[in-house]
Amino acid sequence: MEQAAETQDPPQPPRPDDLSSGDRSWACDVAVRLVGGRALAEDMVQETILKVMERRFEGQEERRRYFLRALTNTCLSELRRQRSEQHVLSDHAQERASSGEATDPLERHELAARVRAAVAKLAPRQRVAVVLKFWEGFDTRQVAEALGVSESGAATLAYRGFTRLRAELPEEDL
Amino acid sequence: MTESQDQASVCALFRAELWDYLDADLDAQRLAQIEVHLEACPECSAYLVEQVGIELERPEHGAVTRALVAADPVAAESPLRVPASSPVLPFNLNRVPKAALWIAAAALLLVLVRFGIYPTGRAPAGGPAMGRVPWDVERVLASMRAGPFEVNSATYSLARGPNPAEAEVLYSGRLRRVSVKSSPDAKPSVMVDQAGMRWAYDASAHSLVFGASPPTRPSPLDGPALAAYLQNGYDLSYAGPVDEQGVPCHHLTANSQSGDERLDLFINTATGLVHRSAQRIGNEAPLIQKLRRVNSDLAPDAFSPTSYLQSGATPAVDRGGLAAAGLSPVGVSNFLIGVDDKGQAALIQLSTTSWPSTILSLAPELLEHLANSETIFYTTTRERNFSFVPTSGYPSGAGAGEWAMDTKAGRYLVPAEKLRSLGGLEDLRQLFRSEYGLQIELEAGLAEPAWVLPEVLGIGVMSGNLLRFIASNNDLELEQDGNTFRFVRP
Repeated sequence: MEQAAETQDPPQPPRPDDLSSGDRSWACDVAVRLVGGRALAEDMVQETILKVMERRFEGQEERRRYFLRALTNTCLSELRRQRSEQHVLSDHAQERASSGEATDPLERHELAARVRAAVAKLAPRQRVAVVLKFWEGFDTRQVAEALGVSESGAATLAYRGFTRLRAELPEEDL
Repeated sequence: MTESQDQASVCALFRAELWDYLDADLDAQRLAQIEVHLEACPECSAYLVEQVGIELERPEHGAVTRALVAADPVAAESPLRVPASSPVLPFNLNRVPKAALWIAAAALLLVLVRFGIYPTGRAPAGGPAMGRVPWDVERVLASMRAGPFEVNSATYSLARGPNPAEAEVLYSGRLRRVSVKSSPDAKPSVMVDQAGMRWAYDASAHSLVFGASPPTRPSPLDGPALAAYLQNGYDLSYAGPVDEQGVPCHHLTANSQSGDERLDLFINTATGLVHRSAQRIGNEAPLIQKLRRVNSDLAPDAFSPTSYLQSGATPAVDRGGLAAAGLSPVGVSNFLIGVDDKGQAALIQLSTTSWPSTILSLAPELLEHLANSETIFYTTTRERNFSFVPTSGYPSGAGAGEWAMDTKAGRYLVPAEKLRSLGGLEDLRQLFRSEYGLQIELEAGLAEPAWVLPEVLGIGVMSGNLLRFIASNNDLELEQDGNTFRFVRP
């Protein structure tokens, strides 16, 4: 099972100059996972596209890498901004965590809301590493590329983020 | 001790302290030393990655991992879809709130009239003029011609919803002038097509058809026409309020598929001034350079697509039959205008990114105006994009964009070509089911497939508020069962 997971191709970011609806949807999903609500995520993707359009690239591969990196950085900036304003929880997570009101079965699941709230409390770079690894299915190399850090740096961020999540989510509650 | 022994000793020390490092249980100085070592030592770096990978996959973390994966917010999102087992939506022309279409179109026209296009250059009573364009709505509407147009299956998506500036205006209770400076944080929106959507010329002399593909005939105008531009493989995308000064404006972009060239037109929503930038992406200049103001000699009041084209200041590519203009940031995202070889402008499409319900509720006076208009409302995606397309004269339902509507009969028609390309009616049903989460049934006795727009596309995309608004304006009651809405006569 683990081997199968290892050999599976990790998801590839889209080419920013040719974002199809599927690509755009993918990018929005990544941003939703990183920053919370979809409207905000769409803004993040939007900003990223504009950034990418301003640059030249040697080839598509460079362009793809840059797109993911730019998207991550845009989301990181937003997370830091939220943090500085002490809006640690995104509107999305906050609404759901505090209201207890859910719109679908999973949302009704209290645990899911608590996990998302815990993720939202992580330091921005740890959050990105955890989100990309566990929700996006990225391998360490891709997380590193997205964050612009070394692979060991990415692994460290993911480990510390995960450890902090474990502390926030006592196993007996899981 | 040799250098390699030194290195081995450092690595051994690092590995002994690995978990203390990962848990940040070391003092800051030691943490920094280890980070320096990690940067310099690929073996230790790889070792750390490997160990973290093993650690995170340990069975005792399984519960946390599963909870984490299950909490994925994207997976938890619930799209607006009707379950496959939900009841079939009723179809009954008698219950169709056709007036809602008129209302929506008219309300939007009010926005146009109020914020930019005045038949005689005068502002509505009590309202200040933001810009004047010396051609009138009625003439534009009357200039529309029938298709047939080629059908394009491309749809597009929109990146964002109304910004605070829009909300400020739209929620004020009345449409009113918005100072440009009141929306300093207006962000651009970009609409990118999915499948190489093209501009194309229809059989008549004057218009461009949004969404038709591929161009069926060259531009009727002289010069290196837009058609040729497009035939070389251009995509189109649109962006909302941006310009080099940070002033809200509307922006039309044509990107080459090869990625090496792009054309930008910016229309200042307050003044109507047009900026143009055409640039090869492959050169050293930044892509978004300071825009060249090509018609700065035109007074705002004198602006129109026609005067723009006649000014002689515009490069040939702009003379290919395309002009585009935008409106204020109050709901109307953009409107698209074709220009014929006599300089006659024709309104092709209006699009708005705001909820029509908001616009409708703010412009009741347009109920009167709409009676003389023939405009359909449609949407191509489940996202926040709504379009209003004049359709007077469409004889058989072939029309602009992907779909069309016979407004007189109140029927939503699917061009035969589209039906064929889909492989028949069942495929079409499947399309609506998958795209809009709706099940549909045909009205008995119709010779060709026909649906009423609000009950097919509309319900899939509109907010409950809009549906309630439509119901209340048509003496109907709205029943809701989950995501299924039903208009009922009281």
